[in-house]
Amino acid sequence: MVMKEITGTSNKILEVDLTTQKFSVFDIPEKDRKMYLGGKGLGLKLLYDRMAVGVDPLGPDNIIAFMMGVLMGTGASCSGRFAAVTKSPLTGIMTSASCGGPFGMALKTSGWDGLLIKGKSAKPVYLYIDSKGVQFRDAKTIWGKEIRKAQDVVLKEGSGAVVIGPAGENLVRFANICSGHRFLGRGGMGAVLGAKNLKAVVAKGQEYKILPVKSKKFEKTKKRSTKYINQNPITSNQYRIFGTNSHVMLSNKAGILPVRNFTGGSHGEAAKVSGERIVAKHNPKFSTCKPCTILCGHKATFNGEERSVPEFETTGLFGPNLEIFDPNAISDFNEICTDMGMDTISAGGTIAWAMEATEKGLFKSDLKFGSPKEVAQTLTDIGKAKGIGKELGMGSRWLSKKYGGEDFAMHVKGLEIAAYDPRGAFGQGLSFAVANRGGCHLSSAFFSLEAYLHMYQPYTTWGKASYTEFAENCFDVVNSLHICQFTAFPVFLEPPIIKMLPTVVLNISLSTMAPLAIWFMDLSVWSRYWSSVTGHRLNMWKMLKIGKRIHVLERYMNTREGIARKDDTLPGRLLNEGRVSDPKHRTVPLEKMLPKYYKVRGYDENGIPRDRTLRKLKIEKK
Amino acid sequence: MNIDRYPEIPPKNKFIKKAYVAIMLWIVGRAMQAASRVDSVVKEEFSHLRDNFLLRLWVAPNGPSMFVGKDKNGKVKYMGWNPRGKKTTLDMQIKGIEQAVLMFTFQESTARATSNDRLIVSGDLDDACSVVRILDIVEVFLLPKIITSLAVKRYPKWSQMSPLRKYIGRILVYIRAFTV
Amino acid sequence: MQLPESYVFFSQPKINSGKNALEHIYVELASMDARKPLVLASRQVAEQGLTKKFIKSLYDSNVIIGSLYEEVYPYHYACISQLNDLAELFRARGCDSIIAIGGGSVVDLAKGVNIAVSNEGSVMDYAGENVLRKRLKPFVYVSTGQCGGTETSNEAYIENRRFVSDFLFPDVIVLDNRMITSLTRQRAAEAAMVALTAAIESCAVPYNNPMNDLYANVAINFIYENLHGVVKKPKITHGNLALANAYAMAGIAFSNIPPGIVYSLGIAIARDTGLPRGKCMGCLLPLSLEYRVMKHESIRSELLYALLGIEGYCRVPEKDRTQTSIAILRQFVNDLGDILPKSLKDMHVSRYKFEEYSRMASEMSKKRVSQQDCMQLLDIAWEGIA
Repeated sequence: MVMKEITGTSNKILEVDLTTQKFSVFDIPEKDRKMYLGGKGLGLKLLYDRMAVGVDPLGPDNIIAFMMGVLMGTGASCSGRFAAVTKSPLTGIMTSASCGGPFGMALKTSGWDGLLIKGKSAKPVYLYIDSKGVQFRDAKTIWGKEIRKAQDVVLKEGSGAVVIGPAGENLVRFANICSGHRFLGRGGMGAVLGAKNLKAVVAKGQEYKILPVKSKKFEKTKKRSTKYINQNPITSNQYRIFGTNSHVMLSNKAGILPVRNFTGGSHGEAAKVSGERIVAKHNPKFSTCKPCTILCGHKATFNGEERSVPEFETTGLFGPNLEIFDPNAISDFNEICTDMGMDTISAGGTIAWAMEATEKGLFKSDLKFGSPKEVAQTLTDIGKAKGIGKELGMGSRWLSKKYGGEDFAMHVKGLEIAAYDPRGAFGQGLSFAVANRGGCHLSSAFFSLEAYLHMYQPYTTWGKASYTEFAENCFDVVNSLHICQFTAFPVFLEPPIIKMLPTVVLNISLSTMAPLAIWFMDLSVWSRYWSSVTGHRLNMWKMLKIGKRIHVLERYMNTREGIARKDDTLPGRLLNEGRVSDPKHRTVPLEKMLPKYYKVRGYDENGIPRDRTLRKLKIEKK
Repeated sequence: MNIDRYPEIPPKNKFIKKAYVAIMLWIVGRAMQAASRVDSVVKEEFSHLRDNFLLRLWVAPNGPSMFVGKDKNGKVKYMGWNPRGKKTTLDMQIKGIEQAVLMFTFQESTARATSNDRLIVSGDLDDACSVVRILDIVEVFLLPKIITSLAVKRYPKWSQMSPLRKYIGRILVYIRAFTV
Repeated sequence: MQLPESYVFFSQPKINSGKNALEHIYVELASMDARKPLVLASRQVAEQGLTKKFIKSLYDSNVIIGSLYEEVYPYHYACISQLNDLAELFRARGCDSIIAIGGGSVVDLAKGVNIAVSNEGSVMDYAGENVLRKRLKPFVYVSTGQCGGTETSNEAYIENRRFVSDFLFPDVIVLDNRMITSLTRQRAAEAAMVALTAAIESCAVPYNNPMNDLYANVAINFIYENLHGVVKKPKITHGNLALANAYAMAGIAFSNIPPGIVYSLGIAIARDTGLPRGKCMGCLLPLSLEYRVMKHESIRSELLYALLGIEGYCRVPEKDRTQTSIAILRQFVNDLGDILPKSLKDMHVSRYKFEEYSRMASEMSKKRVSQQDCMQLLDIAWEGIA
C-alpha cells in the first residue's frame, strides 16, 4: 500500500460525541501548538478550553483526550509514546498518563494528532478510526471480555487499539487503559471510558508516513540522542539488561524500598524479587515499545508461561510492600491486573491498606501480609466489582475515609504513591506532595538523584524545591513532545561538561545554582527534535518556559476543583512515623520545603497560582 | 512505643510562694490573737464561739497552715502550724498555693475567694461567718485602706469603725502580734 | 417559656472557668480518687509553651503526672495505632486518669484511650451509639480555645467512626485564661461557626428542651457578643475566654440532640474535601434557616433572645422575630468579611458529589434530616442565595 505523507504534523484533532454518535474535526491553532507543544500540554489546553469546572469524572461531560505528540511516527529514539488527559474519577482532579504500545503510531499514521471523546453512549460501543474519520461499532461481543481477549478481537481491524478491561466496565476507580502491552495506568482513565460505555478505540494506521520538516536537523538530533542513550550506563546497561527491577536492590540499599505498607525501607529478602534475580532465573527477552533504543521492557518465564516482566512499581508494591517475596506470585498479580485492566500501583497500595486495616480491626477481609493466595482472588474480585472488591475498587482514600486508617492510606490527593519511601529521600517527599496528579513518582523522579545517583543529599531540604520545579517543567515537556521519560537520564548526564565535572561540584551547582546547572545539560536535544519536526523555532529556554506553563496550567485547573495547600501533603505515616529500618526514625520535613516550592512556582501561601504568574505565562484566567 | 521517652513528672515545690504564705498565715494568726485582746468587737465575736473552738486555716494539699482557737481558759490563742494532737472544729482549706497567693496578695477578698470556689469550709456555718468577720477586722487593723479595700468585702465606714479605734487598735495589734 | 410534655437532658462536666482555674485540677482529681493522670497534648500546644504552664500549675499539689505525651498527630481524627500505644503507656505508668490539653484530635484520642483502658477488647468494638456500659476513668479537658465540635460533648471520632455515649463526657472542663491561646482570624471564625451551628441546631428543634435552650442560648450570646472583637484583635483574653466558654456549652447542648442538617452536612463535606468544618458550616448555617422558612417550618423566637438579649428581643414585634433573627445572623456572618466563603461554589465543592454528601449527612443524623432536604440546601448553598 502506498502511504501518503504528512510533513511535520497533521494538526488535526478528531472530536467524538458518544451521546450523539457524531464526530467532527478541528485544526490545532498554531498559537496553541507553539505554546503547548503537543501531547500532554496540548491535551490540557484543549480540555481547559472545553470542559467546565466541577464536572463529574464519570459523567458524560468529562472529556478524555488522547494526544500523539509531534514526534510520534517520525522514528525519533524512544518516541513511541502518547499521552492521555482527563479528569480522574480516583482523585477528582486532572490526570494525565503516558503510554507506549501500538495505538499511538496507529492513530498518528491514520492522519490524526489527537482524539477527544465526550458524552456517553447509550449502549456499549467501540470506535474504529481511519483517515476518513470515526465509525461507531457495537461492542456487544467484546463487552465483559478481559483485555487481551478483547484486544485480539479489535486488532483484527487495525494496527493499534486502546482497550479497557472488566475493571473499567465496572468503574473501578483505578482501572487503566491498555495499548498492546503498555498501559495508561494512573488515575482511573479506564473507568472514564467505562462510564462512557466505550470498550475500545481501534485505529487502522499505516495510511500516512510522518516526515520532519527539517530532516537533516532531525537526523543529527536523532544521532546525538541515540549516542547519549547508548553511552549512558542506566539506559544502555542497567535498564536494557535488568529492566526497571534494577531499582529493587538500589532502593533496598538506600532504605527507600516500601516494606509492609511503608513501615520499613529495606528487607533481607529483597534480592529474591530483584532484576538481577529475574535475569538469573527467569530467562528474559526484550519486549518494548516501538521505536525504542533503551529496550527496558522484557518478557520472561513465570509459572511455566512466558509473560511480561512486572515493572518495578508492580514488584515493589505487590512484593515487599505486602511482604511477598515470590516473583512468580507477583507475576500472577501482574497478569490479573493486566487482564482486568487495573493500575498495579493503586491496586498494590489499596491492598496494603486493606491488609493493615484488617490487622487493626478497622476492615474485614481475609488479606494478610505475606500471604499471596488471598491477594490473587481479591484482585479478581476488584476487577469484577464483587464482594469486598467493590469497595476496594474505590481506592485507599475512599476506604480510609469510610473505615479509618487515614494515617496509613498511602496516597496523595487520592492517588496511591509509587514504590519509593520518601523518608529516605526528602526531595521525593516534596515531589509526591506537590505533583499535580497526586502521588506521582514521575513528576520529578527525585528519588533517582537522591537515592541512586547520589547527586543530592537525601536527608536535607536544601535545593529540593528548585530542583523539583525544574524537573517538573522538564518532564511536562517530555510528556508533550512526546518522548520517553527515561531519555532524561542521558540528556541530563551525558553532555561532556556534566561528565567532566566532579560530582561534588555538580551537586553544589544543582542545589544552589539550578539555572547554571541547566546550562551544562543538553536539553536542546528535545527542543531540536520538536523544532526539526514542526519547522517552528524553539530553544531550550523557551522550551522550559513552556514546560512551566503546562505545569502551572494543570495546577490552576486543579485549584479550580478545590486543590490547595491542605492537599499538598503526605500520608500521616510519612510525616509522623520513622521507618523501622531507620534508627534515627526520620520523617519528611515537608513544611520546610513547601513554602520555598510555592515561592519558586509563583504560587501564594495557599498554593494557588498568583495572577501575575498566570499573566507571565500567558494563561488566560477562566 | 518506647515508654522511657515519656517519664513521670513529679510536682515541684513553690518554695518562695509557700514561704510567703506561711509568713502571712503566722502574721494573721498572731494578729487574730492580739485583736481578740484589744478590740471589743473581735472579743465579742470570739465569745459567741464554742469553748473548744479551733480554727485551722491551711493550704492544701501540703501547704502551710495556722491554728487559732480557745485554750482551756477560754482565751484566744495562736496555736502554731502543727496539726498534731489538735482537734479542729472549723477547717478552712485553701485549695492550692496559687489560690492562697491570690488571697494573701489581696487580689481576691475572702468572700470573693469563697464564691470563686477557692476555699473549702467544713464545720459550723455560723462559726465560719464569724471567722470571716474577724478576719476582715484584723485585716483593717493590719493594712492601709488602699490594700484592705481589696481584701475585704466592705471597708468599714467611720460610723462602723472610728479612726481612733482603728489607729489605736492597729498599734496595739502590731505590738502584741510581734512581741508577746 | 413553656414546660414541654416531656424532655431528657444530661450533662456530666463540671466547668471551671477563669483565673487560676488550672489550679483546681488536682482538687477535682482528688475528689474522683485520682492522682496520676496521663496528660495528652498536641505538638502545637507544646510549641506554644502551654504544657509548661500546665505542669507549673500542678506544683505543690500531690498530683504526679504519670506521663506527658506531646506528639498527638495534628489531623482531625484519632488513629488506632497511636491510641493503642497510649493505652499501653497508661497501663505501664499506672495512671488513673486522663487529661487532654488542646482541640478536637487530642480530645478524641484521649476519649479513645479512656475507652481502651476502661474496657476489654478492641476500642473499635465500642463504636456506635450507647455501646459503652461502664464508667470510664476520670477525664479532664483543658481547653486551648480551639473547637472541633466534640470536645465537651458525649461523642468522639476515632478512625472516622462515631462513638456516642454519656460516659464520654469529660468529668471536668477547665477554661483558664493562660491556656486559651489566640488563634488566627481564620481559625477563630471557623471554630466559632462549629459551635454556633451546634448551639443553634440544638435549640432549633420544634419541641423545646428548657435545659438545652439554656446552654445553647448562652453559647449563642457569647459567640455573638465576642467573635467580631476577637477576629479584629485576636489577642483579647476576655473575648477568647468567653468564646471558649461558649464552645464548652455548645458541646453540651449538642450532645442532647441528634446532629442537625448543617452539622451533618458540614462534617460530610469537610471529611471529603479536607476543608475545615467551620468553613463548611459557616456557609450553610444562615442559608439553612432561610431554607426552613421557605419550607414554612417555624424557628423559635428564643434564637432572637439569645442573639439580642431581653431588651432587643422585646423591641421586635412577635411576627417579625423569625425574619429578624435570620437577618441578624446573616449580617453577623457577612460582617466577618472574606474569612468565610459565601457559597459552596466559592469553596470549589464539587456539585456532582451533593448526592453522596446528602446520603452521608442523613445517615449521620439517623434520618432526622432527609436526603431530599440536604440536596435542596446544598443546591441553595451552591450559589449562596436562598
